[in-house]
Amino acid sequence: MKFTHLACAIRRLKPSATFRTPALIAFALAAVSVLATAPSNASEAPEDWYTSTWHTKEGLPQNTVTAIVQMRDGYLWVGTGGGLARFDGVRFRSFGLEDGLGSVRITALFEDRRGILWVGTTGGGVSRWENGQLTRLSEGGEFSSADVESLAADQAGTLWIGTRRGLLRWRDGEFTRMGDQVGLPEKLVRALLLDSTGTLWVSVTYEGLFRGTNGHFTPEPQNEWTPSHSVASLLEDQDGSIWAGGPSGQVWQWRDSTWRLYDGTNGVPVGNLRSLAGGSRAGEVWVGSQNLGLAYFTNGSFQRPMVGNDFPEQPISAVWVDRDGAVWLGTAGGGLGRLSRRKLHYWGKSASLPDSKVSSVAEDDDGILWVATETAGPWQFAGRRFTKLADPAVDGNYPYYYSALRTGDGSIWMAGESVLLRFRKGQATQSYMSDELWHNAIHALCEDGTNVWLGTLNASGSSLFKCDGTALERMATNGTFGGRIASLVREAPETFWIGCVGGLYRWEKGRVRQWTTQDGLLCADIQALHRDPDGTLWIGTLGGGLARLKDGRIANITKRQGLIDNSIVQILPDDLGHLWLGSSHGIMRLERKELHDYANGNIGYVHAAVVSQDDGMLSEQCTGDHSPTATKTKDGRLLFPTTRGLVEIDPRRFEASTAQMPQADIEEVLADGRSQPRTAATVLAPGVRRLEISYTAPSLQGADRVRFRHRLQPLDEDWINAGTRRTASYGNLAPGKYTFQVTACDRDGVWSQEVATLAVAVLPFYWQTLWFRGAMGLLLVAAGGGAVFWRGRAKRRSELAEMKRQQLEFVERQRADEKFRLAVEASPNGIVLVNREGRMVLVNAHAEKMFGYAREELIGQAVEMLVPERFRVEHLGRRAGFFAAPQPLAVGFGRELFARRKDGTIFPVEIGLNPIETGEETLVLAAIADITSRKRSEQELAQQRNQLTHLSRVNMLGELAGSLAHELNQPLTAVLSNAQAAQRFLAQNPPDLDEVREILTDIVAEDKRAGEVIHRLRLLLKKGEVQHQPLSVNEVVQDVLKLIHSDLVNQNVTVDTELAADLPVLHGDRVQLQQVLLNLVMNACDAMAGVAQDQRQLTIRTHQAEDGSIHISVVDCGAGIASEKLDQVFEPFYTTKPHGMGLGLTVCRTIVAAHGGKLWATNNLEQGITFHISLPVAKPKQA
Amino acid sequence: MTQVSPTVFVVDDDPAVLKSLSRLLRSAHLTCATFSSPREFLGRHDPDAPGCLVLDVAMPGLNGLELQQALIASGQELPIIFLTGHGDIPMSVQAMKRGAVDFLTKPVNDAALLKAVRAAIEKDRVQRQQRAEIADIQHRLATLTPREREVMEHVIAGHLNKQTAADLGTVEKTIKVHRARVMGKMKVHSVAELVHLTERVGLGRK
Repeated sequence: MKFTHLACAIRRLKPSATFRTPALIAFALAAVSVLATAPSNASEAPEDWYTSTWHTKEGLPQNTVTAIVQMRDGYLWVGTGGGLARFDGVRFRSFGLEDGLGSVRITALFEDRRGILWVGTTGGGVSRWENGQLTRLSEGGEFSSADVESLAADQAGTLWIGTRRGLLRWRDGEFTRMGDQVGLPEKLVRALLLDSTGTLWVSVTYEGLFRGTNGHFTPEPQNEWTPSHSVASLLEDQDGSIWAGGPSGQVWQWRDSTWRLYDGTNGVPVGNLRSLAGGSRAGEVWVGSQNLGLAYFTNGSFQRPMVGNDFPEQPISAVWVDRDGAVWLGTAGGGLGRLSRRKLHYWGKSASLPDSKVSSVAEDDDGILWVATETAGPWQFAGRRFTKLADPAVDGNYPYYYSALRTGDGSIWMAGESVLLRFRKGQATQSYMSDELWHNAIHALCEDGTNVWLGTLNASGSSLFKCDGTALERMATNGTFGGRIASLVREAPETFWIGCVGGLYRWEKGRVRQWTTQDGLLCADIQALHRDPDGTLWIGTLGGGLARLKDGRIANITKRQGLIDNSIVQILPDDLGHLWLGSSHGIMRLERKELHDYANGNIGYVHAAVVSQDDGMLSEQCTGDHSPTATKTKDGRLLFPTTRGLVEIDPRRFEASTAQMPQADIEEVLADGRSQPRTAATVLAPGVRRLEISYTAPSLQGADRVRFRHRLQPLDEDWINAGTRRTASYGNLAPGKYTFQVTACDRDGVWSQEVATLAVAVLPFYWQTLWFRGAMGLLLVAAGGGAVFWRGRAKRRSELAEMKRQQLEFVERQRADEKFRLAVEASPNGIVLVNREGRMVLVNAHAEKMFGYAREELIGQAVEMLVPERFRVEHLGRRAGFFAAPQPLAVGFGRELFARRKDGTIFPVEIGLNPIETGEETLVLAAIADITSRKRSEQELAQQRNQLTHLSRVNMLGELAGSLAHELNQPLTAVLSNAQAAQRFLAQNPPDLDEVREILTDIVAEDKRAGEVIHRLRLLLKKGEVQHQPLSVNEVVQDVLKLIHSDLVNQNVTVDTELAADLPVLHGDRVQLQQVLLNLVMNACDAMAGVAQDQRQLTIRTHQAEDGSIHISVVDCGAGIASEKLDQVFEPFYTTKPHGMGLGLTVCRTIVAAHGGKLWATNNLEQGITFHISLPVAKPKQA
Repeated sequence: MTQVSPTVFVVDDDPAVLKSLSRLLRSAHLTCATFSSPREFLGRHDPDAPGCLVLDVAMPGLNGLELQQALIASGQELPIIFLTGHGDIPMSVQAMKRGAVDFLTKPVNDAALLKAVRAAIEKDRVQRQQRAEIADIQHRLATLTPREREVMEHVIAGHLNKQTAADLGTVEKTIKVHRARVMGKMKVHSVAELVHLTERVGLGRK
């Protein structure tokens, strides 16, 4: 019966050419003959696990880890060949012989159900950890130096100890040897397991596996299918199966009263399987081999985890699966390792994505992802790589894409600034552009089955358009909706929900209804919308969290209720009933039901499963402001665009971190450097000068984000935020009773309700006590008056000297304080001194004036009152960040920073921050400068410069007019001739329709060509703000040559271009750089007017200089200029032309300088001049 | 004179313009040949092919006026219609002086272009006919012996046989024989006819 069953089990096994136990070879060979060849094990799946390791340099006592246990309080205990350590996620706390161990060679760790940790050692017996203390089980006798191999304990307090010389029982302080009288050989007990039914499994080396019930042990029968005589590890899994690891790559499972055998043919690693561990999922069992292997049992066979190259290559001697599902590995020499299940894949720069925000992503029928980037045009993602979309319809001049949408017919639509494209397989890409849509930014796309709807924005406001695949139709006037349309979702035909900066709108065939903060929204800046089939509308806002609109009622859900961030920019449902929210601080998953429960008032808190930087997100900031953003693929994966790439999450394989709230725990109390015994209350001897309390909170995932706050009552009234510091210290405590309290918050900033408390009593010196003082008084009265008088005088004298010294000291300190005050008051800047809680403790007169508050109104208030409302949340985060690592910092330079006056006006500032340590606390001194007037003059200057630049450009275009007219005339000529030819062909009998068709195609093409000329011209004429954007210098050169093409032809100038391939992208203003080049080219043409026609040669070169900058040279072969006058050409009003303004080159130089570059001229060796432009690649700071 | 139908040769460096012009000409049942540059035209053009040239003024390399000059220099007097983007008066004057049929501005109206083309073709036909006639006369002239040529020059100068004989140092009878041969070779029946022929090739009264 048993054999038949096993045969069935074995038949499912897949043979492969790995090591096999001799006992199995015969059977395995038989199996080979029965089974087909094994499929390849190679998997395309990317790594599912990532690795972290810890070694002695991080505090591990030794790099050979022999045992691992996570206790229910969250700490991970690690036994090594050189000591025991407790790990809280950040620090290892070591325990040695002086702490209560009999030996530092730890062999076994076991936590019983009462939370007691039993520690087995080689040569030092057993110790137990209870109430923060390690104690040895026995200090003397034969058992105190036992060589322990394995441990098990029951609820009643009975401990079973497997030693080199048999099994011991420890109960009520008595050791009993469990030997022949109970049926056990007194030999090496390698493994012990007390299972949930109360059976004790004992593995005795070379003797076999014994099962003990009711105080008696029986050996398991031995045959090919039962555990061999040297089981190295034992485990009971979540289903109640008993697992046994063999010495040479076999695993046995006891289930349904049968043994099953797994070996190399099922993926079991080769070698002595010294460790087994239950997995976080039902049926998952991990096995570690002393021959470098690690595998886990799932779905009937053992699998190797897909791990990266940093997996430690050492024999595995211990395995533990912690509460978060991470697998901890103890290795022989390689330290402690951890495998964490990868929650996501991050596709970014390493997959060839350019340095641009990903704004949107859509999947086509072939599974290719179409990726819209904010500044680098459309890309595709397939085969784990991004490739730039090569399509002639994609206009390089407009690389700003915001939206990608797949419609029901399989088309992919992409939209952005003056771009709307429709891609269809096997068909030419269609571009939709009307005059109305030109210079509109399309931020939102939405499909209604037949039409695609667009949310647009231009200078005169936002609007709604409809495209039926051929034509565009305006559906709303500009400005119908407040601010840009960030999100667009459909409710019914011609009924849409529209999320804007200025509120939520419902548009129904032209009728509009608006929701704002007055209707219950916390924030009217809408970033994302999602509509459930039942009509529920989920609303993501910038700063106001998530809102639900259902049955006309709005409910808000924010960080207070458990979100990780209040800026929700993406909302995406999965197939499992969750909503995934992209935010500025990562992605969170929420149960839809829980959200409803909260919104209906049934619960007070929601549980967000978080994906963030800890899980491998390179950028935690998801991109919003447009729609659709995130997308779900056909196979159910979720894709979230971020500022630096795409995050891919498989919601079916995603495991929410079940990590519990970290709970603060007081680790050690030091009084003047001496460790104090841990009792309910710590009593300190009189005269203790320094009290240090170290505390922690075990958190194995994201431990470095755990923060603390503590207070020592009655000294501290309120909590002191300690950030990530794990020690509190106090000096010169007066005698008395104190209570120290500490609590922790998790990485999402939620404070634990559990508070660790320590009572501290500082004893007084005997002369400080009341009874001593009383006794002294009596003694004084009793003593002789003269003696008293004499002694009193002496005492008074010394008291007088002491008073004088104190007075001097006081005056000196007062003077120093006064000097500091004067310095602060005299400062030309506003000065605000802020404490760790963000409260202002000192302000100067200038600050009063600047902010319009009186000093009394400021002191003690949160500094955020000086920050404009919309920056407050951000400011809180920055302040916390500053105090976490205080260092001098100048903020506001290169970034706009604003402050708020009492009357609510907002003004630009620059701020210098300096931490000040006063010994008691850290303060930050903020020096604030109001830069309103500087900003204004900067703006005026920039405006003037802009105007001059524009004027010069217009002037230059005047000169170009002939050339441009020609460029325009050519297509017009072709159009007219074509059209008239068509009239003639139509008049023929029969009309030549084929010819007419061709003609019409050509007319359309020529008309577009004319449009482009006008567009180029319009761009140059446009009086726009300076816009720095990534651009290709070579494209600028080619654009300029196109503009001036016919002038060059007319003047018989031959142009040679030597443009370096793969130049880096430059950040600059395209129009202004075109202006510079155009100017130089026109100058060169003029310079060559005197040269023979066939020798008018103009050369334009681009290359990257060694320092990385891009170099453009414009070389003519004209008459040249005397070397000493070369620099004069850049001076204003210097001109050689009769009608020139003499400003062209001056303006050029200003433009190049504004780009952080240089423009200069040199004479050529033979003839002519070369103008050089050198432009740095790094984005220059804007003036 | 030739039986080959006339061709409109179009030279423009803009392929779209070139295509549209040729289409327009074809729609008016004119045969046309297109060239994207003056050099291409010079390289491929058959001087014996009748027709006219539609030429863009502004082109890279050789421009329209230069092509006109080159044609004149090589004796190929193909009538030219110039097309220009902007009505440049000095340029058009120069072109017209050199014998251009017309100077049209782009975009060009079909009626104006076709009228100009037809006129140019007609001009070419006349020119070619004239050239053929002159060639025929010159061919006949070439058959004359030097003596006969001398005699002919005297005849067309209106000298009497006697005078001619005296001038040439021979007798009147010999002159008569020569004169009859000249009339025969030149295929004319009267002195008036001979004078007319020789005038056309620039001989005779000076």
